[in-house]
Amino acid sequence: MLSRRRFVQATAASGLLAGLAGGSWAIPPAAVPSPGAIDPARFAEALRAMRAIVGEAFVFAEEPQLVGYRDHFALKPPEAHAASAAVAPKSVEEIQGLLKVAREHGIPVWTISTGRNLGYGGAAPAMPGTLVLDLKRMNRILEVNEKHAYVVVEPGVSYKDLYNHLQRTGSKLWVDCAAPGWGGVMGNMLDRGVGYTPMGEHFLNQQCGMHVVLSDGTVIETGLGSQAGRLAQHTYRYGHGPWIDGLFTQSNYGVVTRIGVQLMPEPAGYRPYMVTFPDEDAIEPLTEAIRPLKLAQLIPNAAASTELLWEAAVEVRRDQYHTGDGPIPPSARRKLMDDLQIGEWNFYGGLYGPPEVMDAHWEVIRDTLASVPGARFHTAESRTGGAAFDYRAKLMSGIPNMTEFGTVAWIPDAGHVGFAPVVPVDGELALKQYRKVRQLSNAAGFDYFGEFIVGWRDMHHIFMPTFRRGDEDEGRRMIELVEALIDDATADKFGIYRTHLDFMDKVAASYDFNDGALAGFNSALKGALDPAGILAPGKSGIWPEVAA
Amino acid sequence: MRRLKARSAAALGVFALLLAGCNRTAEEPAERGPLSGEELYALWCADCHDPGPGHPGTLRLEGRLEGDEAVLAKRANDPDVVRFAVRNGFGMMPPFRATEITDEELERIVDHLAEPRP
Repeated sequence: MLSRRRFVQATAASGLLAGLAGGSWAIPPAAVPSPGAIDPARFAEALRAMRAIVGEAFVFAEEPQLVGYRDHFALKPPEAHAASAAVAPKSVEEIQGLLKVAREHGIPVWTISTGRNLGYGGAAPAMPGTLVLDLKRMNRILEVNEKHAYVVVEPGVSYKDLYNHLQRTGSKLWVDCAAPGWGGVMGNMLDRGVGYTPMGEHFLNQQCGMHVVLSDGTVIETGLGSQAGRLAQHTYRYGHGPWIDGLFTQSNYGVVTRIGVQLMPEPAGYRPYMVTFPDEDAIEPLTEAIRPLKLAQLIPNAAASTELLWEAAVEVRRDQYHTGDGPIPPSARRKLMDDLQIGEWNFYGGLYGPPEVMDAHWEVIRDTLASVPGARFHTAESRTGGAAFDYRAKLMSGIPNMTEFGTVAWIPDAGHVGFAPVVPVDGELALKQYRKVRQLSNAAGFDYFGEFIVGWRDMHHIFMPTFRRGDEDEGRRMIELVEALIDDATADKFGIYRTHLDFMDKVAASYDFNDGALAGFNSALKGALDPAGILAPGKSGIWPEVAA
Repeated sequence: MRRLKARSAAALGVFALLLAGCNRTAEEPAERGPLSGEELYALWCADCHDPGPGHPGTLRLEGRLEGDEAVLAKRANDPDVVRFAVRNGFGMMPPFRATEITDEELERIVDHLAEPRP
């Protein structure tokens, strides 16, 4: 293995290292932690038992092997979320065996699928010392049903894996992917992420049927999957009795090992479009214009209104426009708008269906959005060569790519973190949210990176500011900023739908109706479903009695 | 309107015919292996490191390096640097675990990137 010194020498010689913050690319924790109060000898015994189940090669317990299980975009030192070890099973039976060992030894286990949830914690566990259950090796696409337009996948299948498979086999089904194509189909759905086609609200539109291993090793199929025959398992999601699938999203109640994913058949036609708006306040009338179009489903896909810097950062770097500290100044913003032909706000949507249907929809959409001052319309024909339009056009037709990850290329050696309040589709509220978040972000010295995505009846306000990794001051200021934003959003009654490991407890505490009755309900379920308290302590602010 | 309905129905009919008989069950790995170094590069690296706009790794490296030097495949890459960057991360690039890229696959990527390609 290459030493740190040799790496520095080699990269310096090749010019790659110049300008990087010294060494922040690989900060080891002080030591690999043991889980909680477990005796090290007993932990070693558990690892031996796990090796007997999955094989020597798939238990990772040495510090160099655990680098990939850290949060690469961590705000705190690596110790805060350092894994004690990782184990990578290949089958449900192996998972059952591993959970048995974990129960018997009291070892907490944090499940990941592809581990690419960057901005929300990546592959790292909430509690230091937790053992990571890495399901990436379970990467089979178990079924592609062209007639009924669904697939069944295991946890390790990424969007790109699924897309490549469907392309290779001549399928006419469209994937709906998150912006970075390396994301996991199941992982994103279980974290209630979104995509950009008409199936963009993943859990609402796509999820149908789950196969789950509970902490005691019991395997369940949800919905119709529990009935013999299960013909409609992946076409009807509810079955009979309580519908429990939601309990396994953003939770620590079980290990989901298979999921039904409903997909969209390739439509008869597709036309992406973009509308730019030069005014900062345009988000208000734009949102008002979008709402009726979404409610009437004339805009069928996840409609995204993207702010200037998010749009610009996939094409250019900050140092090309401003080299000083603090938020980028108005003069640079104007130059970005001129150079890239973008607006303060940039709306993306797609038309789908036979040409006549698209023509008819476009007439209504164009006339409605034209009512927003300064609207300029762009299509694939008029907008060639721009990376931003190109990757949006791909996303809205389910083609995975990595272009949006370019927002992290805005500054050297950067990471980003997600803050995601949910706002009703209301122009006044959207403008209020945008102004407050931008003001607080700029005051903390960070550029505002944001977009509003309308799934159907709500807007996800996604704020993903970049910061310099390994810069302790920036990390501290970013934590203070996100905590202030959570407080502010809570005071304004904007719920937060998803958050980074460092803020899960705080966000959970903001759901405080009736003295936190919901948290009590979640705890009761945790106690009933995972009495040993081994599954993902701290996920979404849910802690087992044992670990607490 | 009648023409619209007729054409839509025809389009849907054709589409339904295309679908008929396509229903299948496939149980196979997401990626058929073993993949070559070039195929592994395309799967894991190209989306960020290919030349031209829309590739975040290239965009970032262009801030430090001139011309083709910013494009991974167009430079001669020190094998140890590639190994280290993949397993430990490099700047904005996160590390890749052995469950994603095996040690054997990493060596094939290393070989693929050892010499510049046109």
